[in-house]
Amino acid sequence: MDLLKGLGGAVGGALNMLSGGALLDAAGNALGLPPVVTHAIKTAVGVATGNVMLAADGAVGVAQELSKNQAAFTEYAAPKDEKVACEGYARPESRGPTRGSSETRGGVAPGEVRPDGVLDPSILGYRDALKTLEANFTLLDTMDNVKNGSFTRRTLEKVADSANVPESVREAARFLLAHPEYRTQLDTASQKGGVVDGTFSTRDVRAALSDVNARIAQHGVRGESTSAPRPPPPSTSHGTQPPVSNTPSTGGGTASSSVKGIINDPSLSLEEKMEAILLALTERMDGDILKTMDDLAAAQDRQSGIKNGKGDEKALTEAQRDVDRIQMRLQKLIEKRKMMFEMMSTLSMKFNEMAKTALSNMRSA
Amino acid sequence: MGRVIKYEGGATMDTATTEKLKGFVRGELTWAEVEGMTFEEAKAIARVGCDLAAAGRCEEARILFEGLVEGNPKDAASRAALGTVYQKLGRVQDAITEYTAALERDARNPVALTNRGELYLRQGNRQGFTDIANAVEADPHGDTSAGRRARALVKAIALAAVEKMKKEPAAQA
Repeated sequence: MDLLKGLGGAVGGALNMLSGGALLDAAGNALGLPPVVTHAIKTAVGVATGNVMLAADGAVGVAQELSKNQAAFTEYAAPKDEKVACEGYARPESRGPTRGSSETRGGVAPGEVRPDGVLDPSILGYRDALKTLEANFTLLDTMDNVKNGSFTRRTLEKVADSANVPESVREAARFLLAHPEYRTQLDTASQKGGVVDGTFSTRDVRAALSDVNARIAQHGVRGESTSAPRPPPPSTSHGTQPPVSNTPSTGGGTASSSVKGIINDPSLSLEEKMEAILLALTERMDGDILKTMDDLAAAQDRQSGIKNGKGDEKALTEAQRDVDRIQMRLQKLIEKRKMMFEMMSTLSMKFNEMAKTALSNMRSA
Repeated sequence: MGRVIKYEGGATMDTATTEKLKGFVRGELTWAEVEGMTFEEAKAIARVGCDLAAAGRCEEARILFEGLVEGNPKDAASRAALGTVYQKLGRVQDAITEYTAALERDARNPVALTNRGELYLRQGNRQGFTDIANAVEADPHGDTSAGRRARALVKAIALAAVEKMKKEPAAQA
């Protein structure tokens, strides 16, 4: 009844003299009310007019409230959840290219060589993120309750907000979400020039990590000494692989544990495991070749030093023998590497043939 | 004479821009993301749009909000605000479309709920009651003008219902 009194009071003193609904119609239109509501008020007030007359004091009226808050009032009511509100907008730190962003200043994208010949320091963050992803791949793979040896951008979004994953993994996911350029590099890492499909496999992560390490070794990073990369975080899920070291390993221990990691990884198919093992062995061999080349250079330096320093014949012969021996070793290593590549190529061909045969058998069946 | 537009091909584009444009083409990024527009910037533009609409300069407000919606179609608040401008311009169907699109992104947007609810009621659509009730639920403290209006509308509707119930037994008797 209070509401009725309020309505009566707000629409005006003339209401108590109402004989018809014309005035209320006008009031309703002025307030921008839907006809159904205006009609409802009109009926209610008409019936309750006596009560309005009897009750002297009117509470705050509905009509007053409606007149205060006009229909179709333009206001920007963003969602309270900042993440939802910011969806579709750029993050404050990642400004667009048209505004002279830091990430593309001088027309250089993250991960590319800068005009001063070195890489952007953000590549260190990328490397750390890759190491974390590799060490926790199984966790990411099973995030969507499906174990298919890969994860997507959606998985990264889920991980970035999940409280159930370690902080380091969340950070790695956030890094990749904030850097679409690095994400694209990771997407196509195992197949250069391939199509960006938004899916990241173990091979992508491994290939990207090896590529980043090679680039850092080749070009260096601006201000690397001041921003040392953090050690990779420990894995929290069972069955994950140990992170690959930055430099090619020459020791048997790391390589064998890496191979064991590949063998024990349930997310890889047999073909992928064989390829990954061969790739790991090739990497190891590359390290050996580099070391041998280094030894050869040192031996040649020693040899030339003897020549210049008027050394005796015996020392010169020994130095020459050393050089020859190292050259032989280098030759053998290169031969082995060639064989490894041929084996990889043959394996790939065989797998392809097997698949083709299976397909043709299925077709003819 | 018609003007021939040729591709000059000389201008180089950095990888980051290319990637962003590819992302836009694939539908992964909005144009606001490509341009680097932040939420704070969008909010500042929207505030200008609201001021223009309040001053009765609805055409200018429309241009601003249409730009914001084009830049980021995911922004439910901009869509709802554009809906109100359309409603003021008499483009009721466009307004309903925008409110509906806003509610698809944010089902608790009080501006879209209240105004769509009112428009539905005007059309005799009972869904309007639900929208208005949801608007009150979405903005229980009346932080927005739309939320306060929804509350007032609910009171008015409740009033009508009570009166109808009072009348019916009287008629039956």
